Amino acid sequence: MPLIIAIIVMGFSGIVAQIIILRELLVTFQGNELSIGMILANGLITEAFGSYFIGKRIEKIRNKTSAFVSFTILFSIFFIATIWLIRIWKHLLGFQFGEGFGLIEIFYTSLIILLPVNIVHGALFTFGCRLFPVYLKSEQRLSIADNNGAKQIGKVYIYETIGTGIGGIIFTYLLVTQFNSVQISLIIGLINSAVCIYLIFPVLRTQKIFQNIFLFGLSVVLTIFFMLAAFSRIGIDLHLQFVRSQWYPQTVTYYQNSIYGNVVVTQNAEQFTFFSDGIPIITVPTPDIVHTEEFAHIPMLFHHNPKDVLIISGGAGGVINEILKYKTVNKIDYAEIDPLLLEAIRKFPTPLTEYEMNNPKVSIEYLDGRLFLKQTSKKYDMIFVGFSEPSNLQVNRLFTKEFFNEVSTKLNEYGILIITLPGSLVYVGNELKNLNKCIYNSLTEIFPSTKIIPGDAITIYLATNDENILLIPTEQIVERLQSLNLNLSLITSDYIEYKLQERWIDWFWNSIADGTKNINQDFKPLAVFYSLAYWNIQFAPHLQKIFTLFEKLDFRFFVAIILVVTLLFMILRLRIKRLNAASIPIVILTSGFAGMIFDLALIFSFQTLYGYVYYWIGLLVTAFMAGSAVGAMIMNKYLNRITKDIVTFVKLEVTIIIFAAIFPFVFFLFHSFIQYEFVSGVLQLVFLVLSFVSGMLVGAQFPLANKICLNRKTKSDSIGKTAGLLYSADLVGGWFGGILGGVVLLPLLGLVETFLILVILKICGLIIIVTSK
Amino acid sequence: MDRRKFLWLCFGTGTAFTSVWLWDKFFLENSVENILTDMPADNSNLSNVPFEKLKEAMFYEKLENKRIKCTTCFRKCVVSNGGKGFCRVRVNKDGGYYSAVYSQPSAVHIDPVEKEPQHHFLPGTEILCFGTTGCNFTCQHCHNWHLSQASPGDLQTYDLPPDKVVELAIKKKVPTISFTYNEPTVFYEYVYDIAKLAKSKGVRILWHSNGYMDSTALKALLKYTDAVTIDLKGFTKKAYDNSSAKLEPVLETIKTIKHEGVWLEIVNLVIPTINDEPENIKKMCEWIKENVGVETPLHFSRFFPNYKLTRVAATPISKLEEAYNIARDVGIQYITIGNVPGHEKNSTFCPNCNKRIIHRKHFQVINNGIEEGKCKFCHHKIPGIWS
Repeated sequence: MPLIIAIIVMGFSGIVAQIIILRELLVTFQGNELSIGMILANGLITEAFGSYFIGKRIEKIRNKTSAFVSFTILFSIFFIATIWLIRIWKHLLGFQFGEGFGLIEIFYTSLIILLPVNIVHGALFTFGCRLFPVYLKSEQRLSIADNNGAKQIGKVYIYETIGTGIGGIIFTYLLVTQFNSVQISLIIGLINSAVCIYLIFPVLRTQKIFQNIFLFGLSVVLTIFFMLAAFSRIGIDLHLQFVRSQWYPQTVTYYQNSIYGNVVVTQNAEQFTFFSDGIPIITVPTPDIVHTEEFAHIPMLFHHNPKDVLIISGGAGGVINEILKYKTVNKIDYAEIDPLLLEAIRKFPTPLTEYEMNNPKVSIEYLDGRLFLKQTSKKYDMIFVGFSEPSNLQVNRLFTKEFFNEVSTKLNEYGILIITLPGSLVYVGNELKNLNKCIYNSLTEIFPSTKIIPGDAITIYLATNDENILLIPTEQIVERLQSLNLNLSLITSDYIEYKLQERWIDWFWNSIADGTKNINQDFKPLAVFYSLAYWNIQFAPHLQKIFTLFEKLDFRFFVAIILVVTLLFMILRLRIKRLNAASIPIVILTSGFAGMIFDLALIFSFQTLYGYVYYWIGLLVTAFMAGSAVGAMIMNKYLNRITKDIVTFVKLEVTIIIFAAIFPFVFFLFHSFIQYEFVSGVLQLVFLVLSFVSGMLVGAQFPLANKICLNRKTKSDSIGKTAGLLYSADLVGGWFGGILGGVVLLPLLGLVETFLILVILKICGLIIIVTSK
Repeated sequence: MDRRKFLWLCFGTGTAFTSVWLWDKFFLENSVENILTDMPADNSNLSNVPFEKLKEAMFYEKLENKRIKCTTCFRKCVVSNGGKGFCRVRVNKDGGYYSAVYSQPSAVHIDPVEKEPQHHFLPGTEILCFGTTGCNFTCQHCHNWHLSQASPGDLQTYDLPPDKVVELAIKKKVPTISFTYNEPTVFYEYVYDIAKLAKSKGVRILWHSNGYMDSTALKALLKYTDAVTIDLKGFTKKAYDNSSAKLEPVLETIKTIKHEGVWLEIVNLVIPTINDEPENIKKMCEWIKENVGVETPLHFSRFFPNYKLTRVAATPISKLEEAYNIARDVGIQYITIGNVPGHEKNSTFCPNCNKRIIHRKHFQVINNGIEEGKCKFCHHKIPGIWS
C-alpha cells in the first residue's frame, strides 16, 4: 500500500513538474510555441536517460527503500531549484537583461534545465519497479517469480498513469488557478516528503541504521518546511523573489498568469509597461508616439467617414485616444488577445488609459479578439490589429488567410483592415522580405485592394473590399488632415507627404517582390516560421543558412527521403539477412515519431483554434500519456492470448495509418463552426479523445513489438537488449518528431502535408514488416 | 525588293538598333537615380569577392608571417592571413589588408538631416545616406542590426563607386552626403574617397559614428568633413559593455573632432537600467562642458525595445526630462529630447533669450528662426552651419 501511494504520487508529481517547467520555459522563450517540440523532445530523452542509466544502479543497492526515498527527496528539491534556475537562467548565461533567445539557446536551455528533475524522476520509475517485489508478501512473491517481471512493471505503469491522470486534471483545474509556480512546487514537495515519511517509517523500525534515521529526519524537516512555506507568505515571497531576480534590474509590480499566457507589469518612474509572455505590448503614460500616430491616423485618413471601429489588441495606451479624436467615430469595440492585460491596465490607471477605457464610445470586450470577430454580427469601417509580428501561433491567428476572410465579411462597404509587420526604411533582408511577402500574399488572396506604407520600425498594410478607396491621391489625404484639425504631435501635412512618397513605396515593394509566393494559413502557419527565421538571425546569424535551407525543403523532398531510405533498407535486407531483425525497431522508430507529431499537432491546433493552449497543455499532454499507458496495459493483458503477433501488429499499423489520414480533417471540419459555444465545447472533448487515442495506438504497439522481437530471438540473454533497442528506437523517433515536427514540418508544411508525410512514412513501415522474414 | 532598297533597309534597322542600344547604355544604365527605388541586386560572398572589388586599407601595419595590424579603429585587430577583422568587412589576403565593402553599399536613401541627429547643420535639408555591412561595436539594441551585424555576402549590395555617389547627390539636389546606418569607420576608404571628391564638387560631408576611429585616420578624414554626430553610449563601463567597447577612446575622438574645428553634435540614447543613472549623466555633461564646451549640442533620445534588448521597457519621459535638467544645470546650452514627437524640448531654444528658435516635430522643421546664424529675436550668435 505505501508503495502504491508513492508511485501514484510519483506519476502525479511528474506531470505537474513537466507542465510547470514547460510553462516557465515558454515564458523564458517569449511565448514561442514552436519551442514546445524541443522541450517535449528533450523531456523525453532526459527522463529516459534517468530510468535507463541511473535506474540500473538500483540492482546493486541493498536498501532499496531508502534509495527510493532519497531520490524522492532529491526530486522535490530539484523541482523548486529548477524553477529558480529557469528564472535566473539568462543572467547565468551572461545574457544581457532583456536579450531574447535563439534556436540553439532554446535547445540547450531546455535540455539542461530539464536534466536534473527528469533524470531523478526517470530513475524513480525504475526504482519503483524493482521495489515492488519487496513490498509484496512472500507467497505472492513466489507465485510471480516465474513470471518474467513484466507484470510488476505493468503494475507500476498503471499506478503511475493513474497518478499522471489525476495530476493533469488537478493541475489544470485546481493548482494553476489557485497557486503560483513556486507554491505548486512547494505543495509537490510537501506531498512527496510526506510519502517519504510513510515509506521510511516501517523500515526504520527494523533497521535502525544512520542512513534511515537521517532520511527520516530529513523527510520530517522537509515536510514541515514545505507545509509552512506552501500555505503562508513564504511561498508568495519566494515566488516574488524569483520573479524579481528573473526581471532584474527592472522593477516588477505585477505578475500574473492567465489561461492565455503570462502578464507582467514593470514600473520605471511614472511609466508602466505591460508585457505579455515577455513581449512589451503597452507603455503608458507616453506611448511610442511615432507608432501610435502612424498606426491610427494614416489609415483613418484613408476613410472618408469612419464610424464603427474594432481594435484587436494594442488599443489602450494611445491608439484609442488617437481614434477618439475623429468626431465621426461613434463606437470603438476593443478586445485584447489576453483579457488579463485589460485587468492589469485597470489596476495601474493613468489619465490616458482611464480616459480611453471609460469613454462611453468605447466598449471593452473581455474575449479573445478572433473569437469576438467570429461571434459578432456587427460590421466595421475600420478593423485594427495591434500586433506587429506573427511571432507565435497565438498571434498568428490574426494574420492568416482564414482570419482575413472572416474580416472581409465584417467590413462595411468602404471598410479597411489595418495590420502591421516588422519593416525597415534601411534594408530588407531575406527573412523580413519573406515575412512581409507571405502576409501580403495572404491579404491579396482575400482583398481586391491593398496598400503598403513602409516605415522605420513597422510596415502598415491596408486592405479593403473596395477597389478605389486606397487609390485616393495624397493631396486629398492632406486636405482631410487639415480640415479635421486633430491636434497631433507628429503627423503634419509634410509628414503625410513624406510617408506616402512613391519613392519609399517603390523601394519597399521592389525589396519584397521576389519573396515567397506562399500564403499564411491557420493550419499552415508559414508566417510563424518566417518570423522565427527573422527573429533567429538577430540572435544567431550563423544559422541563417540553415533556415534558408529549411525554406527550400518541401513536401516532395521529405517523401523522396522516406522512399529512398525505405528502398535502400529493403535492398540491403535482401543481402544481409541479419537486418530482418531491425525491421520491427524501425517501425517502432516511426511510431515514436508519429506519437510526437500527433501530440504536437494537437497542441498547435488547439492554440490555433482557441488561443489558450497555455492553459490546456497539461490536459492534452496528460491525455496523450494516459492513452499510451492504457494502450500498453490493454495490450499487455491480451499479450498471451494473441497467437498471430505479426498480424495484430500489422492491423495496429493500418489503424495508425487510417487515423493519421483522417486526423487533420477533423479540425478543418470543426473550424468553421467554432464560434458556436456548443461546437467549441464538443471540439475540446474531441481534442482530449484524439490525444488519448493517438497515445493509445502508439502505446499498444510497444509491448507487441517486444514480444515479436523476443520470439524471434534464440538466445535467452537478449531480453534486456531487445527491450533497450525498442525503447531507444521509440525515443529517437519521438525526439526527431519533436525537433523536426515542431520547428520545420508543422509550421512550414502545415497540418495536411505533415500528416500526409506521416501516412507515407507509416505505409513504408508497413511494407517493411510485411515483407520482413 | 531591289538591292538598293535592301541596303537601305539594313542601314535603317542597324541605325535603329544602335540608337536603342546607345539610349539604353547612356541614359538608362547611367541613371543612378534608379538606385533609390531599386533593391540592391548583387550578392557576392566574401570568400569569392573578386580581387578587383577589394580595396586596400589605408591604415594598417604589416607584421611577420603575413599577419597585419589594423590601425583604422581603436580595436587594433591583428589579423592572420585569410582572416577578418572584428568588423567582419576587412580581410587579410596574403599579408595585405583590404576592405570588402568598398563601393558596395547595402543601403542608399534620402533622409532628413534631423534624423542623424544634426540640429545645427542646415536644418530642414535632406541628406543622401549610405550604409554597408559590418560594425566594430555589437550594441544589443542596434537599430540597424540588419546591416551592422551582418557579414559581406549575407546582404545584397549596389555597385556604386565614389564618383557615382557624388553624381547622385548632385542630380538629386541633396546638399549633403551622410554615412550613417552602420559605423563609417569600417568602410573608411569608401568614405574617404567620397568625401575628398565631394569636397571638390561642393557637396558637404556628414557622418554619424560611435567614435572608435583611430586618431590618425580620424584626422585625415576630418579634413574633408563638415560635421560629425558622435553617439556617446553612456559614461560607464557598463554602458560600453553593452556594445563590447570602451569609453575612453570615444572621449579621445570627441576631443579630436572639436580640436580639428569640425562641427560636432553628441547624441546619447538613454536606456533604462543600462545608462540612465543621474550621477553618470551628470558626469558626462560635466566632461562635455570641460572638454568640448557648453555650445556643443547634446541630444537625449528615448529608447524603445529593439534587436536583442526586447525586454527593457522604453525610457520614461521623466527620465529624459531629468537628463535634460541635469545637462541644463551643468550649463550645456543646446539640449534636445529626441524620439518623443511633440515634446517641447524636441525644439531648439536660444540660450540668451530662451525663445524657441527652431521648432521641430520629430524629424520635421516646422519653423526656423535662425537668420544669418543668429537668433532672430535677440540676435545672439548660434553656433553651427546654417548656409
